[in-house]
Amino acid sequence: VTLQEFAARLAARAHLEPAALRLSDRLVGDLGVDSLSLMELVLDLEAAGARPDLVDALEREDLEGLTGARLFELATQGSPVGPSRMGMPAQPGAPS
Amino acid sequence: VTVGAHDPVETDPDAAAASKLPALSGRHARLRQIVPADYGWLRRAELDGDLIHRWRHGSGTPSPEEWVRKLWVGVLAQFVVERPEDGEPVGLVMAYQANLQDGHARFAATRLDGSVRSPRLLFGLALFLDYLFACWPLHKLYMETPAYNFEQFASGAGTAFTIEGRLRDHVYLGGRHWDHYILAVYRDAWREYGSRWRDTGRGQTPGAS
Repeated sequence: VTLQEFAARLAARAHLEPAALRLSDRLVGDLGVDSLSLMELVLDLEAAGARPDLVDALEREDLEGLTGARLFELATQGSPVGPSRMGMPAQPGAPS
Repeated sequence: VTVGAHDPVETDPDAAAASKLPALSGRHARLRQIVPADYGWLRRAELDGDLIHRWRHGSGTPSPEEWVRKLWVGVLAQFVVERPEDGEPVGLVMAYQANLQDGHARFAATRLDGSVRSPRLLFGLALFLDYLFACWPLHKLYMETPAYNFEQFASGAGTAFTIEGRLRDHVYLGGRHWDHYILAVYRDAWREYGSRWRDTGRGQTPGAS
């Protein structure tokens, strides 16, 4: 799962343009992603090749405080999203 | 029944489909039946914390005997949702007030620790809806929920479920009245929407050990 793919999927769930998405925002509290939509996003990520135990990893997280950056980190088995990438719009061809 | 060697036997082309029983276990959740040994912790889970307000008892405190009666009254099917790896219970799913003549029933689901948003309950609920539609000729399943619970899954309106009713200021909690939603999951819609939740990779059919 690339950062661009992830940002596009998350932006769609949050009803935002990818450019308006800030990965430092909390999914539930800031972006208004509810529990059902969050799990649909997880299904999307699993189908796109995210770590197969993503649900297990999420169970250990505080879902109320979960940010987009943290979810991407979990989905990609620990690939951190640096501060410079926070809020980065999903640009075709941009490095992930 | 004994069939003679020379008797022609017609095979029913639907027999294979009929034998495809619903899975009780998926990769992320497993359903198991409730046994009396569960009553103690299950009663505590329902009556402690937020669930005493958000679940079926509506802030009341039924006696232990009354709690058991209410656990089963009108129930068609009910399971504990548990984590496949270690059997840790994460939620409860139930179908009740079934009308098998007209083909509908009500269902409900809750996390057993209301303060934790376990991601597994929805996978258990998906298994349960598959189970209900596979085992009974139900064409729609109703769920009723107050507005303060509805916001957790409101995004599913129009895809996972339809909103069939909204009773204004119907429920009282926390010093105010809340709207009450009547939602419906239709068999045909669930067949399509629910497909993405199905994962029987480690599936188990009823009766299997």
